[in-house]
Amino acid sequence: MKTDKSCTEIQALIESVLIEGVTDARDRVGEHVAECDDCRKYLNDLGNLSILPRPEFTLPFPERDTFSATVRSRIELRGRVPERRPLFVSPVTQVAVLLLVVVSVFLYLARTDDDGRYAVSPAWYGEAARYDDPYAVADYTMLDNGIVAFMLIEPFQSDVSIPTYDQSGSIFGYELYDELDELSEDELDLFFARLEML
Amino acid sequence: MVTAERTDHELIERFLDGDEQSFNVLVRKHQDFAYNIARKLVGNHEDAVESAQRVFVKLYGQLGSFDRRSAFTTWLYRVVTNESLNLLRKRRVRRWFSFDESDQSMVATENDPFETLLETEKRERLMEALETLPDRQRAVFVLRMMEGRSYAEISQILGVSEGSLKASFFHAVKKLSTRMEKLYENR
Repeated sequence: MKTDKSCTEIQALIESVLIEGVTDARDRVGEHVAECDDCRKYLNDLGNLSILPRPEFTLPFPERDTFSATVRSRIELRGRVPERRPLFVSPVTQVAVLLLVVVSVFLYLARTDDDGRYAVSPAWYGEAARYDDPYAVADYTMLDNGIVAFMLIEPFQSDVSIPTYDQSGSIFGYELYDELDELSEDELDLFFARLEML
Repeated sequence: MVTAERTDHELIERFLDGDEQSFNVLVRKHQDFAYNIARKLVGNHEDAVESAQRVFVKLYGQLGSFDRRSAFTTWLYRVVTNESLNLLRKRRVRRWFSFDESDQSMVATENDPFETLLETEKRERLMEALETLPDRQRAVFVLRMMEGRSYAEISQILGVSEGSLKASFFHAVKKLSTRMEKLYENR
């Protein structure tokens, strides 16, 4: 009786021959089982089983015709909700959502107030003073709430002043931010004078 | 095969996009496949129908998680096998096998009535012998011997290592062979 590590390999070959119909391994299996009782027994056992008719089943009538309907009714009875693909995954949905967003943004930006002006800043946008003056106000923006935001050119780039109003509605003064706080009084006077020119 | 799988995938895609009818088509297409596997595993018609129906009810809610890189039938093998083994465990107290003479679901392969009778008897004895196997050995034997699946595929289906599956199959063959001999001796 021969039993060694090769038995595992031979048993795999026996399966290949009998189940998968591989013929190349027949000789090697034959040589081994001639000396190995265990593998010969396995070959006989599997061989006897492999020649048995393999059962195949199909749904008989009437289940064949009613199976699908029964599955559907059981699904509905349980109220199962299918795990659908998330809507945003669908390319069609993605395009539709993108178009909707673009159109919405366009319509929002394009809307006008009673005076026919664009309701969203920048409502007015333009030059307020000379660019050759380093302290001049370069640009201003009139927001829809009446606040004027000033954008300064060098050396006060991106600084903003917000006007405050007195009871009559006239500009009372300006709240200055960032580098404007560091201006000297003369510089601020010049700045306010420029604003008065607006 | 590629075309069939593509069709399965297309049906799943359509179903996931909201086409309920595609699911019905998928069920009708694979109902015999699911029933066939379940029948071999659970051993009787009623439980096999129950198992196959449960599978599709379950699939209805889980098709979204199906990995479309793999074949649908491989996934179906796994779901049917697991569902059938679960059913077996739950109904272990019941008699598993109840073959009767008028079993219409067994596909006859011979036209000769005498041959057909012999074949049917052999099949019945094989199925009867399968009854004696533990669940895993039964599953491995059905998938390997009757369905011709490779160990790699069965490993995916059952979630068990190939080494363990080979050992289970080896023991299943030995037990079935012994059981079949006894069955023939007693008849």
